[in-house]
Amino acid sequence: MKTARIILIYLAAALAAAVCGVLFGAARIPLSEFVQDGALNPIVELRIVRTAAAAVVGASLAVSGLIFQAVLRNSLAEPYLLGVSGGAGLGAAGAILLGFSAWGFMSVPLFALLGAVTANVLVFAAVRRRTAEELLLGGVMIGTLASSLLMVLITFSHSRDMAGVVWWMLGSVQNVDPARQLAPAAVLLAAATVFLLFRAGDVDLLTFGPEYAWNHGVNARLMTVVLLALASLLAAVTVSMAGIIGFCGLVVPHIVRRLHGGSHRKILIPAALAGAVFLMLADILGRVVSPVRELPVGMVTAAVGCPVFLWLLNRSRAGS
Amino acid sequence: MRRLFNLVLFLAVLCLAACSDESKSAPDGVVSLSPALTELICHLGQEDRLIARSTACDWPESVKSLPTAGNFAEPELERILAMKPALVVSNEFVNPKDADALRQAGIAVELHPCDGFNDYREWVSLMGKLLDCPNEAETELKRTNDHIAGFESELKTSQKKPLRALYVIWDSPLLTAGADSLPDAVGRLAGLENIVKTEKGYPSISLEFVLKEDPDVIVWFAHGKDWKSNPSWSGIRAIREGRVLVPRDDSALLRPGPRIFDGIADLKSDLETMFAGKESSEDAQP
Repeated sequence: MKTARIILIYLAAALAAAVCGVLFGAARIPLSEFVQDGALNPIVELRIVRTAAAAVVGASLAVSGLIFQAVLRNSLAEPYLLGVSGGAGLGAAGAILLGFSAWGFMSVPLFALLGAVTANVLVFAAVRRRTAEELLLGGVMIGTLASSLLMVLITFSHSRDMAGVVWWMLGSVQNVDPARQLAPAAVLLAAATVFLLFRAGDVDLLTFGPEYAWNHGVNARLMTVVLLALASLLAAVTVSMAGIIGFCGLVVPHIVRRLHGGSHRKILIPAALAGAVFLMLADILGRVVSPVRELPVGMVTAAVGCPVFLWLLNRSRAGS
Repeated sequence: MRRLFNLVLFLAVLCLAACSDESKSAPDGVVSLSPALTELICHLGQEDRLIARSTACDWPESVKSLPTAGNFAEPELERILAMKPALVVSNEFVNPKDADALRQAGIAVELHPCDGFNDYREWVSLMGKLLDCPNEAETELKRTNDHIAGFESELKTSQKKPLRALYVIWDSPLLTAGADSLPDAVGRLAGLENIVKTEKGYPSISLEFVLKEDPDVIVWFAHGKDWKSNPSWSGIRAIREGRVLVPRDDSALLRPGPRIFDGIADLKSDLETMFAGKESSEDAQP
């Protein structure tokens, strides 16, 4: 199938998911009540923001996961590998437990972003030979250290604060500031996508190994560092915005690669759109399950993504 | 003469036995791992028996001078064992293994729920027995029942419709107090009706549900958190119109202890002020 047609299909799916995201939720709102007294119904406004946030977070995680899996040549690679989740968790928990959250709504996301970026920088600084494998091991170590420090903070915390940290870590797109969080994240996603489209050939070559890429004129070590740093930054921004949402960055790139092959120029935008669709649908499911409660979107992505992935895995093996 | 000597000896032995029984039934070394129970022990006039408190116990002011021994969920076993207390009291969240370890060391451990007025009444009776102060416990039980009856009778005579309230325990994600929670019970006595009716405990609820329910007032227990800088909250009418009430002392309302009725009276009075005029509601914001 031609790339343009594939992108059109994914775009149509993303638009359909976005419309569903605005139409469905805990409350039933007739179309006639979408606008009240000349202003948008606050519930509809909330749905628009969270649907857009789910789309940006899902797309960012899928692009980030796609790059990680390609560069590390590891099908189990996911966006949080270089210490992003541990660092962000530590930053957010620090803000909540040490009382910085009183500084305002943006303090927790900013501390989470700071934690994620710091963990990332530490990985790159601590690993001397920046090969993919060593960066991966460095990421696991820094992530483990951050998680241990997080446990220390939790040990000294009050129960109410602890509940806040746990819920933050489960992930949610309910509380996203459209101007201060969503817009910068969307700009970063767009910039990263454009850059990756230009460098898609290099990514393809890196999937055959750094020596192969070097022999074809790619500065493999530099490109590895740049791509992993960019993918981690995408993950860090999403985690500061919506907490730790697992599975999306692992499963979506896998599915898209299995369906459409390994050319990154061809699958980059479909992967981004598929990530957006996946998270928008997971968010809808999380809020329609109960009229009062809301399931954390990270729980929904795992619960839905796991069986879908296993089904696809078995289907493609049977086919081959 | 011999008879008299035997009588004196008998009385002396009886007196000693009584004294030893007294010390058995009223332990001097008490560790409280629950702020509400610490307050109750002090209210019953038994503060001298306390030898350690939890990290959250901060009332009355005098208990802050006591050493800490962990929190309600994680007691510091080594520290408690070194203190050699006779009794450890807390709610049911203490790890059963920790409780067993304390019991094996010969320490009496009393763990019971402490979530509402019925739990509080049971704790008052139990403390009366454990600390050998039945009269003080009886007085506190009567005070409790009188206060509850008083608030209920005021509600019955009042012609006002209850105000529909959202209790915010944590803002992001939104954690609230459910149908069987202490804030729900406290709010009901203050003339509020919880918008969360089907969920129990302290559930995380969706903002969409809050927007749909459109509460009259928001009682803000998320101490130190600010609702004004969170854009997601701006769609809620009660937020836009400044109907957010921050309790004067949220610990008095969130702890089922002897101060709870003062907390309810303050809450009631603040609600009356808020709904009497707009200016007062703005004063309530931090």
